[in-house]
This record gives sequence, structure tokens and C-alpha cells, in this order.
Amino acid sequence: MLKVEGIETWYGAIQALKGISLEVQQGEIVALLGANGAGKSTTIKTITGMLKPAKGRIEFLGKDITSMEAEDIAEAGIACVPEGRRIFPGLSVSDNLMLGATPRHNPSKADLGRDLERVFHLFPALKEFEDRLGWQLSGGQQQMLAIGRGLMSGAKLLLMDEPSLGLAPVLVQEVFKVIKAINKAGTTILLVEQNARMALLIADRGYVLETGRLTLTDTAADLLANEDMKAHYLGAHAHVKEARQRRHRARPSV
Amino acid sequence: MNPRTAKPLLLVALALAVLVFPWMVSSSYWLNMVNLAIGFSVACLGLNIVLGYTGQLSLAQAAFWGVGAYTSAILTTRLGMPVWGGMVAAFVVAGLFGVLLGIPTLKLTGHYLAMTTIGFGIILQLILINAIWLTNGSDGIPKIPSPSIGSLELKDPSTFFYIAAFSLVLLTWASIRLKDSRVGRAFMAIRENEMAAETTGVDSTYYKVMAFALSAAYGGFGGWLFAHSGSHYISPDTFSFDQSVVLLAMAVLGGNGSATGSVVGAVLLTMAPEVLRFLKDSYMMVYAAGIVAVMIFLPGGIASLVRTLPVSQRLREWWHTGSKAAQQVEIATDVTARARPQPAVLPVGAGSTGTLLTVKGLAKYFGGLKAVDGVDMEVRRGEIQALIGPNGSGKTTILNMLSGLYVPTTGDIVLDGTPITGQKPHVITSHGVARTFQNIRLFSALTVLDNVMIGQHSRSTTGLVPSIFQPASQQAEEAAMRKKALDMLDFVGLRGKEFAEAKSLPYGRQRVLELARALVSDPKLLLLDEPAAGLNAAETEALLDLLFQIQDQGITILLVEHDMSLVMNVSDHITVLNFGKKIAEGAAEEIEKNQEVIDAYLGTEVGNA
Repeated sequence: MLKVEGIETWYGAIQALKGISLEVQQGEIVALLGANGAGKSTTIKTITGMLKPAKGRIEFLGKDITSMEAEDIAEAGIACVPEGRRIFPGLSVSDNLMLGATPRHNPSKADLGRDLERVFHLFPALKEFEDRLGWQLSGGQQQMLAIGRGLMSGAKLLLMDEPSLGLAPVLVQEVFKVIKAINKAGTTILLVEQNARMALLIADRGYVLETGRLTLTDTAADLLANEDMKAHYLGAHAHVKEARQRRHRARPSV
Repeated sequence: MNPRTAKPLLLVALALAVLVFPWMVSSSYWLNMVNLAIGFSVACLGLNIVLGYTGQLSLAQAAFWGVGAYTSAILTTRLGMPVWGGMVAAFVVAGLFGVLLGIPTLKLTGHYLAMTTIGFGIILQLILINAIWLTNGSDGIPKIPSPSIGSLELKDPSTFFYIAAFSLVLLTWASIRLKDSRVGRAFMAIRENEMAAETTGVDSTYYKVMAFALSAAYGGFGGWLFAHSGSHYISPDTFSFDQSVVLLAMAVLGGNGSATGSVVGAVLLTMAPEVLRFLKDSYMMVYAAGIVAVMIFLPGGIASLVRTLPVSQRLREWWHTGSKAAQQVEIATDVTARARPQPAVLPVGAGSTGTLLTVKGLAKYFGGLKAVDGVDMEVRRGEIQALIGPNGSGKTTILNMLSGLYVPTTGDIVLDGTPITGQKPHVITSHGVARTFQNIRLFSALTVLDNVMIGQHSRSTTGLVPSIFQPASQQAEEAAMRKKALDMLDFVGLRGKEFAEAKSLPYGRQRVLELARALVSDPKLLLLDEPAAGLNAAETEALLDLLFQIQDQGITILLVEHDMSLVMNVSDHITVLNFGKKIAEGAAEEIEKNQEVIDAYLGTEVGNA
């Protein structure tokens, strides 16, 4: 469905992507993992047309979209839930959602209404705060709104950049459940996440980025079992507990 | 050549150039134009302080220019005051008018501020027109005297040029010096992020008024240069809103934030119409089209173009080699190469127990929304305490009240015996509270080093005048601040990045820089709003070690965080909020098992979240 071939993207004199190739098949959830500054968000921005690659090719449903403008790419059927939510703070929840439908061609009122109901069904809190302005929502509600807005576009492919950022654990679990449900209902998903474990638990496959290059790709199950992955991206919890114990030994009074 | 020896030589060359200039340009018409351009340049230097440094849009600069011109003209023609006295008066009176404009506009930003400054400018012009008893109305004031040195009257444009050029060099020098000082950094901090500037200890009210006053004083000085040269006649229509717009165009075209840039812009825009006059009827159109073209192709102005040229970068490096700051950075780097200094561990002595922060009945209502609804809480000295709860439960609102960004609806906050309820953020910072933000708020366009230097604002004292003249005491304070900043960057692992722009750092490093900026203010209490958000497992682990090291220095931490792998492991004590109310409190082990907390917040997959 999405085919990225050897893209290189620069920020001025700094090369952020040094030849990234990846594929997303129809119906998949693909996780894009890696440390800060590895190039995950840059990859997303390059696919959505916010940044233009210096080299490489991006193909969506067999069509070359490499040099298309962001709004045309959105119209072609790729929606994005950007990092840090980026909702419209001065607009109401329902206006935010309706704006998500901008890329659709002459949608019927009934269709829009049905999709809106679907979003409200996924996120009952949004229904409750339908008339509230974007900035009045809490961080978690804003994230829900950003995802809902992405869904309203009726996109075939949804790119999600760090959807769990700044959410309470119970909400993180909720968001991942929703992602899985959206996928089951037919939307293909490319998911960028720091929370590698959670991402791989719902993903089919994963790619790992390091300093602008792909270093590892495998099925989600194999990545979860991979020793390198455990050490660098998954194992925080175990390590942290050790740190705590070390500290308790060092400072028994605390 | 070594810059140490080259700098005096350059100064001599500049003086010579100024000296011979009037002989090179023999036409008195062109010399008058040059003097006029210098008057504009000085006004633009002022505009650059308020707009370029401090980020406040002012469209009243021509009015201050007029206040300066009229002050001196009235005093010298009516009261027979010497022209030099008029100069001082122009500077001071315009500065006072700047304060007058500064105070009511403090709460305003963006287009609201611009509107107010336009109104202010128009009012001043109307006063000039209508207060005939004082200003002679629209007839203007003719026969304004020239300044004299001894018996020599500087009447013709070539001699006045020396005065003008000398003041321009001096005022440009002052404004460049100011940029790289404690006061200049405070200005730029306000421009970059006013809220962060406040919580970092910068009294934005004070510095904004100061910037407006200084800007107006420069404007007044420009007016003095204008009144006592050229036609020696002034009238109100010169000091119009249009002229303010032209001054703004000069400052922006030259390069917003660059003192030399604004001078270049002023000279260019004063001279260009004269040079273009051969185009007859269409010359103003060409002139306007030129401005539009520059703004489209050089949005950062001429200064930004010059700045990015490789040759000017090399020049700048050469200029700074051997400067005190560069030496200090180098020496510190050497030391790091040899042995990484361990941060001093503060003695955890008698004063280290008991309560540092007491919060009683704290509440914040936004209209009908009770964001925080009567929370009691204590933070014990030397501990790491976590504040957790669902999104929207009021955690950040509490941090905002503790750091002074919100005034509580009711309730009391006592820090170390001092009530700090409802105090301004910079006051609270000076009492020993520092914080970081959920969505990082750095001074993005400033260097890493400057960010951490601004962090010490509340622990330093250099004021406006020493910031410009930089006496030994200022230099000593500056060096001490720089050393502390470098040590701090070392501590958090950001050494080697001193001169990188803050926004060029990757996300995770930006979080660390924000932490360094907070720590360097010597806080008793450090408030962290989701420090692990966006960090991966390895970075979170590094953060955890850093938090323990900070605790070892005797700093108490109050942490808002959703990453339970961090919270459950660093916290000595956890407070849980839901719907603005406290629902649980205790050690990590108790909280993990609390059914109400699990239902509202943790969910069922704590172990592998």
C-alpha cells in the first residue's frame, strides 16, 4: 500500500534521513521505533509531504506521491495524527472533528454524521465535550480529539506520531485498544512510538531506526523477543527496578 | 592577525574614516542626508531593542523621535538652554514617555500591542499639533540652534556630522554590548518565551518597561540629532504614524535583532529614494518594490544574509578567539577531558528533615470548572514526591499555582516557612522554586549556554548601566555565571553543545537542557512536569539516575509523570489526584495496590506499561 524507497531528508545542512526504505501492506499495523532524533517524526513528515526528500521515492497505492503537496497527499488518502496533538485550540471539539474531513470529496451529510458517531462511540468523552473549545480539553482528551480528527478524513492509511505521549497509563492502554479497533475496522496504520513494548503488542511488524538509518526490521513477535531490542527499547522497567535496589543499598535511609 | 592587537587598529581606522568622510563628500546636500540617516539609525537602534531584542512590536517610534526633537527644540529656543542640555533632556524625557507607553501595554501582545502603540503615537502627534502654547502648533518651531564646542558652532553639516557619527558609534556599541549581558539576555528571554522567562526568574514587567524606556530614549536622541541639523526646523507632520512605519521597515529590513543591521536598514532606506530620483515619477514604486522583494527573499533581513555568509562566520570566530568567554569554555573543556568533576554533594544535615512545602486547601476554578478543588499536601525536604492522576485531574494546574503562573482561587502555599501564595513567578523563583514544562519551553533561538545563563537571573544582580559599560564587577559576575553554567552542562551531559541553538537539539536533549536551566537557579524545590514524556527506555533510565543525583544534592523534587516505570521507582511518596481532589497518598507499594487508583488511573497492566 505504502512503499518508501531510499528517502533522504535534510534540515538545512543536517541530514536527518540517510536512505530509509519501508513498506506498509494493506490492513497492517506497522510500528516505527527508535530513539529521539533517530528520524521517526521526520519520516512521517516526509511521507505526509510536510518535508520534501532530497532523494528517494514514495509510492502510495501504486502512485508516486514524492513531490505532491501535503494537502494533495491528504486527499489521496493518507491522514496523520501529529506528535503533540496539534488540534485547533480555538475551535470546538465538533469543529475540530469536521475539519478532519476536509480531504474528502463531497461527502454526504449522512456519511459525515455516521463517521462522527463512530468517533464519539470510540471516545465517549469527546461526545460529552462536543461544544468545548480545543484548548479547554486536558492532554488526554486532546489526544483523543487528534486521533478522532485523523479518522474523520476517511483515510486508508493513518500515520500516528507518538499517540501515547503524555497520557495516563489507563489511557495509554485505552488508546492502544482503540488503535487496534480502528485497524480491525479496515484502516491501515503506521505507528511511531516511544513506548515500544505497547506498540509491538498491537503491531504486525516493526522497523527500528537509528540516526537516520533502518537498523532492524522483523515481525512484532520476533522484535519483542529480540535481545538487542530488550536491552535498548523494551527493558526499562527491569533496569529501573535494579537502579532502585542499587540505591536502596547505597542509601538505606531513603 | 591576533584580534587583541587588531581591535584597537580597527577602531583607529574607523575614527580616520569618520574624520575624512566630510571631505570625501563635499556636497552639503548629501551630508545633510547622511546626518538625517544617522538620526533615523539611532531611532532604529532603539526600535531594535524593543522589537528585535525583547520581541514587543512598537509602532510609536516616530512619536518618541518627535518627543526628543520637541523637548530639545523648546528648551533651546524658548528657555535658551544650551543644546547639550537639550540633548540630555531629549534622551530623558523621551525615555519617560517610553515608560508611560510601557506600563499600560504590559498585558498586551501581538496586534493588540501594535494597536495601542499606534494610538499612543497618534495622541502624541495630536498634542504636538494642538498644544500651541507649548509647541507652536502646526507652524512648527523654526531657527533651532546648533550645538557648539567652546566658541565653535557646529552649524554646517560637515561639522555636525562628527557629532552625529560619534553618537551613532557610541549608541551602536552600547546596544551591541547590551545584547550580550544579563539585561540583554533577560530581554531576549522575554522575546523567546515570556512564560518561561518569568518562571526562570526574569521580572518581565520590569524588563519590558525598561526596554520601552530605552527604545524611546534612543528615539528621542535621534530626534535631537534631527532637530539641530538640516533645516533646523521641526513641525508635527514629520512625526506621524507613517514615519513610525518607515522606521519599523528600516529595523526589520536591516535585520530584526541586529544593531548593526538596523543601522544598515536605516541608511539604505533613507538614501535609496534619493539615489532612485533619476527614475522620476516611478521612483517611489521602485523603492517600495525593492522593500517587498527584500522581505520576500530575505525574511530575516539583511543581517541574516550577512550572518550566513561563510566569510562572516569566519570573521566572527576570529573576533571571538581569545575573548574571555571563549577562553573560559576552552579551559573548562580541558578540565572535562581530564576528569569529569563530581557534583558537590550537599551535606544532608540537621535542616534536611521536616516539611519543605505545605499546601492547604488549594483550589483553582476556571469559571464553573473546578480544576483543583481543595487539595492538602506536604512535600518533605530531600524527598522525591510524585503527583499522579488521570489527564485533566489538576496536576499541571497545581504546578502552575506552585510556580506562580496561576493565582489560586483559595488556599495557602508555604515554602520553607515563607508564604508564597499568589506571588509572581519570578519572586517564587527567587524564593527557591524552579520548574520545567510539559511541552518544553526553552529560549529556542538562543544558545544552550545562554539558556543556562538566564537560569541564573534570579541569583545575579547586574543592572542596565553596568550591563553596557561592563566594569570589573560585571565581568566577574558574568565569569562566575558562565562557570556555573558550564559546570551544570557538564553535570547533565550537555558539554560540547554550549553554542548550539537550543532548538537544534533533539527532543530528549531539550528536556535535559530545560532541567539544567531550572537547576542552575539553586532551587530548594524542583517542579518537573512530565520529564519522561517522549523519552525512550534508555533515556528514561538516564533520567532516573539524574533525578537521584539531583536528590543527592539536597534538592527536593515534586514530579508530575505518567511513566509508571519512573514514578514507582524514584518516588519516596506519591500523591494521587482525580477530578481536582486528592484520592490517595502514600509510598509506591501502597499506591500500586490501591483499588481506587487502579480504577481511575493505573489500569490493569501496570507491570508492562
